[in-house]
Amino acid sequence: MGTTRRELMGRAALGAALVGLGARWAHAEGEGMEGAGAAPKPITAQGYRPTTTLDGKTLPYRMVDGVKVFHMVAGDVEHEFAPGLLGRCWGYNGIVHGPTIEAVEGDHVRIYVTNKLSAPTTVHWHGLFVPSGMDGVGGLSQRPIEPGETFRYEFTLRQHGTFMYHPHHDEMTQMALGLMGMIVVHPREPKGPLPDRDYVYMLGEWAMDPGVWRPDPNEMKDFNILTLNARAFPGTSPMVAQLGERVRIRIGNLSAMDHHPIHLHGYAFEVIETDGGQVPTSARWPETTVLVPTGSVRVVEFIADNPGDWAIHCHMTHHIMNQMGHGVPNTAGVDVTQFDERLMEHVPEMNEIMEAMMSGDDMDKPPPNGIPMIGGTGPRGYITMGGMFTTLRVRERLPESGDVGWYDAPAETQARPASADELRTDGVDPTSATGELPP
Amino acid sequence: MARWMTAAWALPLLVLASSCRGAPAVRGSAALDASRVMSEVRDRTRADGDTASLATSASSRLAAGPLDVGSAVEIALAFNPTVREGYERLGIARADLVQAGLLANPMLDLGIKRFPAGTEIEGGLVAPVVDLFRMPIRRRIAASRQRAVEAEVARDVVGLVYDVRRAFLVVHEARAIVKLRSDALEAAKASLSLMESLHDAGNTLDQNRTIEAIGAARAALDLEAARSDEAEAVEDLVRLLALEEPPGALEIEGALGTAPGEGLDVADLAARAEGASWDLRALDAAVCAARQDAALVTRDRAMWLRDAGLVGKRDHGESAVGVGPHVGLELPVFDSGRTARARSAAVVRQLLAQRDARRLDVRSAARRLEARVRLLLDRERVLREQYLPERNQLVKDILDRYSMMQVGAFEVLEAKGHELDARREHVQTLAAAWRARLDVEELLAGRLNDGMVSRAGLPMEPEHPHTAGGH
Repeated sequence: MGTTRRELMGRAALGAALVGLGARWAHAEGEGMEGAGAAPKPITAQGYRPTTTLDGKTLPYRMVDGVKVFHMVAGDVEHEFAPGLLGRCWGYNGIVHGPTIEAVEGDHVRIYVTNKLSAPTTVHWHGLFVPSGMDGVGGLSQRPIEPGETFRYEFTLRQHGTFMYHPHHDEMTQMALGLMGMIVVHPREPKGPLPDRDYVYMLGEWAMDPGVWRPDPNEMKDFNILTLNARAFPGTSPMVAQLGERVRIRIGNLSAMDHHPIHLHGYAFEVIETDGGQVPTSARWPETTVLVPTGSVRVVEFIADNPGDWAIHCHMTHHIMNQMGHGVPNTAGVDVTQFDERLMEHVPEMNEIMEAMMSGDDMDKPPPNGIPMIGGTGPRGYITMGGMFTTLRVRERLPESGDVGWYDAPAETQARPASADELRTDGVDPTSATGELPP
Repeated sequence: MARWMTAAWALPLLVLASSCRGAPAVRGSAALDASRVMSEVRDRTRADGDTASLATSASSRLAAGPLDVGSAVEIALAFNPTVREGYERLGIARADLVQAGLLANPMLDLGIKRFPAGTEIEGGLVAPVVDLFRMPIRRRIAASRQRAVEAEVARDVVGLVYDVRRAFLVVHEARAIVKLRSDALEAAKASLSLMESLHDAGNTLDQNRTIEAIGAARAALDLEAARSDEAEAVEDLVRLLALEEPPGALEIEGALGTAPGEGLDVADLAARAEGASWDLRALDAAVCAARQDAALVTRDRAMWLRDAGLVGKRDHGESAVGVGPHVGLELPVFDSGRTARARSAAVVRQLLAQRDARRLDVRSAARRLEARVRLLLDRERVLREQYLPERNQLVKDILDRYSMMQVGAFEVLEAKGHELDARREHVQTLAAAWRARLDVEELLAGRLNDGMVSRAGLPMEPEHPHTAGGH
């Protein structure tokens, strides 16, 4: 089959156009979004290894009379899901999703929540054992925080683990627009070895057709932007680890309607924790895929002992597509070039679009706010993935710059075209339809 | 006493009769009358051509190249039997006028009677004296009737001119519709072909292929209907051009004009239409003739003398011939003439009522056409400036979504189908606006046609059950 329209238009022209156009837009989100550093983060005075929320941030605090004081501000955010795809979202402290709240078991925290939205809101501390009046359920635990108001939440962290926060007032709308974040409570007395890398992910799903600028909270089934920390591949940053490091990945899921089986290549891991608490060592078993139901957290851990670039992604295949049109006809097994040809024949406007694309004239058009359904450029061609996809890059030694680049596999470990000699020696007939080997 | 009463009743009619326009000076031939009528028709219809320059048949003119609307009008004026029939009516009216100016011939009576005693010879020369008195009124009646015929012929010729222009327009419209229907069929066939490729690959339901097949069949039926309309439109034009053997494919120039409102003045349309109406002029003349006819009836009843002359007689056995005057008198014993007078008066009133009715029709048509032409011009503008561009933009928007693989080719083709529907509605509206304009012009040229006094529906974009959408 020849070059598909998706490849022709989606990749070459649209992708190039949108990357260019996206660059013209000021990123409304603040500077300092996290990437993976070269070296592990140093252990804090409280004895924990700080987490890394890739493409996000950790919420800062100040100590006031022994209380950790945080300030969260809910408001409008223009968020970039990937270069060329912006969304008029709601977030906390100027980012989507909100920053990760990180504390230690036993800490007394005071969290101020200022509402700069146009609608009332609350914050629910998902999974935390808090007093009932602090639980954030609008109308049940508290009255909603009206626009312009600041509420104070205060409680002691009685447990450790990985949790989430999100509005519990009109949450269908507010979560669909991005209001959510992760909470990590480190154990006061860790029982096992500390991780060298501690990554935090929030899984999310959004409904926003190309050309639309605001996620649709009314959507129930047809989500078309699937995100890791509110970023869709190729907008996701890679995790990195040095060979032999202990890697922990905390994965929360606040998708509206979907669970996500997250699959890591090259490794088996153990689920060490859920948002309900630690999994006893005796109850753990090795997995390569962990299902993270919506409203849940799974924490996995493994030793990075296999160098390379390893994919990690949701294994629901439509969740690794960007802005997929689910109403298109099934053209598998059909020569799709005839579709374009027929349209060019009967719809003259098709020729105008093609000519404009060829000439580059459409670069001056307003950005349609869309990205190719699949991927970005990889070291060995185009990576036909999107959405909930990123990489874990494990190196024997990480460069100080932190830019690990692509893995340069040893030649003997790199898949390649088979030579005629090899085929003959091994008795492989490439013309065979059944793959039978000679006895 | 009764005679005096009759005379007193007749006087107003005579006054009315004398108030009618006088008869035009009698001219030499009916051809002059036709020329005058045609000249006025040309002035009013701006049919500025020269029929004399036409070849001897419409077919030979058509062979010279594509036909423009002006040439079509000239061909119709030269060859359409309606015009010839009109000329003959003018000739008849002219002859009637001349005839009305002639006195009745005198009568010579001769009688011979044989008796045993000899032969009696009796003779006389009698002239219908009453004719001397009737002739001036009779001439005025004939002149009025001639004016009525002239107006009727002018009306019919004006009608012919505008019938040709309308027919020309309808052919343009029909051909434009055929083109759009043809495009729609090609698009529907493309949609079917694409759906069949999906179906053959096992990717879609039988139902979806069937829906596309239905869409293609529907489009084919629509195209056939459009071609039939085109053939009928062409035949209408061929008939008006008086072509006995129409050419294989009538070539006509141009296309639907784009500015049906340009230069159109509908100010004070009702008054202008009333002033221009040939029907009203014909009825005015008919009323005039009827009033004069009523005066004639009255005069006839007021005068008992019918004829006068000389008579001579030689009785048998006499050698001398006796000669003396003769008069013939009508004795109103059984028929006092009252019924005839009442009838004449009723005819006048009937014609006046017809005139009033026609006047109402003309003014109503003027109001209706003014509203219709304004509506259609506005509607055509909205279609052209807003609706069509937005329909086209929708095609582009859906194409953008197709490029992003959000929708399939079927949605694009469906949007294109809707755009073709919109373009068809525009063509039909544009043609309707032109027809309304032609109606206005025709009304101002003096002819009221049936369509001007009846309701006309608006062309509307139809529902478009076109595609299965492919999924």
